[in-house]
Amino acid sequence: MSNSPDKLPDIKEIDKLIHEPVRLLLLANLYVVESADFIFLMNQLGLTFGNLSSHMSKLEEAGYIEVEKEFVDKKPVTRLSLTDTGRAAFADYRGRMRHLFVD
Amino acid sequence: MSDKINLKEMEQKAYKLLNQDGLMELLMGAILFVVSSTFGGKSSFAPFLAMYVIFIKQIVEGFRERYTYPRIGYLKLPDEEGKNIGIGIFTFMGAVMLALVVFIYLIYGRISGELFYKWIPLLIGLIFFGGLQYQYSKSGDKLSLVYTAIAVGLGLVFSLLDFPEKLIGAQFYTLSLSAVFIVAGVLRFRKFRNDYPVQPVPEGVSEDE
Repeated sequence: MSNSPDKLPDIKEIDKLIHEPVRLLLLANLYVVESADFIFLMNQLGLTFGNLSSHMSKLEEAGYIEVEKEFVDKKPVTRLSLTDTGRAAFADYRGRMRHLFVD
Repeated sequence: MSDKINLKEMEQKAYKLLNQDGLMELLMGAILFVVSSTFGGKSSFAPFLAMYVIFIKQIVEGFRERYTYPRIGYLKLPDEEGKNIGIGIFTFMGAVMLALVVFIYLIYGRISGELFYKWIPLLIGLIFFGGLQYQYSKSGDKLSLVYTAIAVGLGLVFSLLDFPEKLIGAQFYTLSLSAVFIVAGVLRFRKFRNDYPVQPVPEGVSEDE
């Protein structure tokens, strides 16, 4: 790998909120759909409700995801979707990670 | 398990999961059944098509809210391509029709309504080929390839057979394909219900709302 100094700013600017593996997978799952609920995401990620909820809160605080809570057939449903900010942040993260390493 | 995040695969997995409920097959079977009746002169496709366009979203969402989402969770796929899909479908249908006219001319040295009617089953099969290939590209579901082979294969067979009346071949073809899709849809729906039991609402959801 080249130690070119012009790569250092890219490394420093990696979004640490997204860099966490579970949040990265959560965002990746939301990136390919328009929206999804807790059950779908728990199944896809193999997470418990508490774990997913904790990561969801952090991403929601950062404005990366939007959380809609409603009742369908008297059952509570929590639907998550990426905001434009989250989509841009994820795309930016992908771009940085792709250019970080050379073979 | 791969240590790489493949967004295309993730998208295909989501698309495939959502389409495992058999609804797509049942809807295609219903459309083909009405088309078959239209060829037989027993009904008109236009009112059905109008109803279909108006109510399709409600039908799909109603079905999924009742049977699909409680089993796999709620999932909405991006529909930003709706306009492009419409343009793509009409362009493809136009191209297939043109190709068929050229094909008929090359084979018979002339174009006539009778010959065109004879080859309608293959025309419909090729239109399904386009739709099912799109479905395959989105889901990676190999069952789409099986449906493609059946739709095109039956289309070719019914076009090659001679029938006493001009639209009987098209009528039998659409009826046969309708039966294939309805049976496949019912079987897939049953399998889906067995493979994916209704999931309980995650604990804590209501308390945290």
